[in-house]
Amino acid sequence: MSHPYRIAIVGLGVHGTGIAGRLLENPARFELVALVDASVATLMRFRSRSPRSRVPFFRSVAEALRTQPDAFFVATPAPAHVAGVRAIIEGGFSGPILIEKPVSNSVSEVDGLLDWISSTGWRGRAAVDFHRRCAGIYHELHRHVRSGELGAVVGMEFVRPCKLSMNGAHFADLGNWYAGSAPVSVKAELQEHSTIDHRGSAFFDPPGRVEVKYASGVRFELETRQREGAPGPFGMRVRLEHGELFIDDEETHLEIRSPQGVKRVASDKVQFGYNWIEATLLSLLDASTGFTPCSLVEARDALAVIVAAHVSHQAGGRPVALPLEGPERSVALRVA
Amino acid sequence: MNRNAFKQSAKKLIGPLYRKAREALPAPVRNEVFGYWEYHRTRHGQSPYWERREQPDATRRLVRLGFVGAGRYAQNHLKVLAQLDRVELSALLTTGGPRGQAAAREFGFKRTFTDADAFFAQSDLDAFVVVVPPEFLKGLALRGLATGKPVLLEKPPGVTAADAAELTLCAQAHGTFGMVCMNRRFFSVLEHGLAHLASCGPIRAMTVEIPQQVTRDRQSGRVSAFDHEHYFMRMSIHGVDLVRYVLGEPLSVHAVAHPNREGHNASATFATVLEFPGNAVATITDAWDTPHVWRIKITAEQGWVELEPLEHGFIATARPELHGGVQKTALRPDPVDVEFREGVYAQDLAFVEAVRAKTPPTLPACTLEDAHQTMLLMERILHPSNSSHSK
Repeated sequence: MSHPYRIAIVGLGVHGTGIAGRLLENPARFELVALVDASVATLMRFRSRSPRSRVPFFRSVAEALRTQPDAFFVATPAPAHVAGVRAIIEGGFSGPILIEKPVSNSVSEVDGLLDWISSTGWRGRAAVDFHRRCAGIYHELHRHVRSGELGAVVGMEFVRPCKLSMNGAHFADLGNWYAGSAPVSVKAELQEHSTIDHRGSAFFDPPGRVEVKYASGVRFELETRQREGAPGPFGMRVRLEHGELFIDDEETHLEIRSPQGVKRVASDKVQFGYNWIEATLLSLLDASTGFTPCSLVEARDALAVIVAAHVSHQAGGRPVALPLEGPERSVALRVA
Repeated sequence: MNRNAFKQSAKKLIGPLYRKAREALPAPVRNEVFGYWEYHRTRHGQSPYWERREQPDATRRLVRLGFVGAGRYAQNHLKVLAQLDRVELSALLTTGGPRGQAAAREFGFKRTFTDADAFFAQSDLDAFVVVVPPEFLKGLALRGLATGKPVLLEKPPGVTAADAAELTLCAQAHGTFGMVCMNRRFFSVLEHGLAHLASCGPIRAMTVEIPQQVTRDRQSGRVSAFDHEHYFMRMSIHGVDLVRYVLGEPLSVHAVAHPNREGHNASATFATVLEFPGNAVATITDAWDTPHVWRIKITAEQGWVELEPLEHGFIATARPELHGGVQKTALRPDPVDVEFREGVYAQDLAFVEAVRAKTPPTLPACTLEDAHQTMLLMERILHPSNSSHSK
């Protein structure tokens, strides 16, 4: 595989359109060879932003496969991710597939996808766009945690008003990544209503307060409600035995508090973090980038935290054990 | 008082008065009084707009076209094709009448033909454009496709779905592609409106009204007996195709058809409800011999596009913070849709680019395969006994 990498984007919503625009700005590295969406309205929005672009537009993955992409980026709403990935693989594609987060709206559907991939003997590689794993500052935070120089993790907090399965899901995944052990229970209190946005009223994705417990005894608190007097400052905090690591809400820096003092590492975030998405895509295409994207199994575990939060809320805030079992594993959320 | 505080105070004072005055007026007067101000207040920020005219580029490969037809509608294509960069109108096939001679002169054709065999035998052409009456269209398009070269043909591609299938198979058999002139897909106001809708949540509904003046057309002699016989397929195809184009393939079709064949189709009525994935629905009302104004409304969760006639329209956005909750903005057409027949510039350019790239065009272009699906849907509407079941 050589530069520029030929990329096909499936799902031309706000996120897919943003990614397409970013890839078009980097022709030395990427060539956008196909756009796929069920709605021609999304094509027209893309044209309104890139009127001179002649990227072919298709309604189906099968048609897009004719353009022979090196990689697919699946950026449809979550309930369509698994079907999209299956269509790509069934079409004979054996290259990398990057799937937008959350990986699905149902844990059992991801189980099914993993089993199916295994049964087909597919030789490609699929990963999920939890792109903060491929972001310089979050990677640096992870390096500090794993090095043990500040001792073991004793607790984590994420505070920021946002939708739980959208931005919140990134931090559910980071919590799992930083904790270094499996989540064992989740309890949550979610808001009754979810803001209706451009995704449509069919989706229900309220913010809330979620507490995740890990096998190591570490507790991770996510507070995503918009509240007066919410604890601040907003951001992701990892407390360790001998210090603290903190990334602010704007993701401008990583703050490292240790017995030696406070040190700040400037962020590598550019253009709302699209460079991190690009880094995630590149990590799938080129093993030498130094980043490891989130695997399907890891993404399923992050989804399980979100599903468990909804189940816990519906059960009056009782703790829900992980891994999910029985009907809880088949719960299909109305998330995008 | 600083500037921001002053603005806030002024808003508090004037806002309620403005809203009261606006709501007190009947709708037509309200639109007249406030519409202009609101339109100008928002149009630049709200209405998507882009231009389609290509920039000259000497590195483009020359595309040499063989053109069939010189009638009234053919002029619309010839005017566009003559303007496109690195396109040569090489050969013209006509019946030999004065219009053909005039077109050959006006558009600088190098060669003119009245013999179809000799015309299609030319080896130095890259593609054909066929713009002739429906009774001759399929036969000539088949001859073009049989040469293995791409063909742009007027709608409808034949007068039955079987005709469209035959054309599709012919293109496939000869390793080429055909594109059907569904120029409404390329209307700049529709494209700008759809671009707006993409940010208004999922598209939930579409209503299409496509009345035809069948009796007037028959009595005036404007349509031939063949055209009249296939009037529905010929005239209603744009409206039906637009529904498929915007919403995709329907899951089910529920149609009512009263063609009134005994009465020369006078006052014929066709009404259809179509269901699409995601609970989207469309209705197509085709009441013949009612005023000939086509209307389309495409509704998403937080806004809509309305075209009436299809060349003009506006977008509307649900904005609760605005007075009345809805903000309407006129759609601005691309200058190419003012200078030329609407949609034809972008459509013909899409065909030329596909010929140059040696690959079939993609959406919004309508390939023969795509048009075949529209023809199948047309037949389900025309013969509702086949239509009440799910696809």
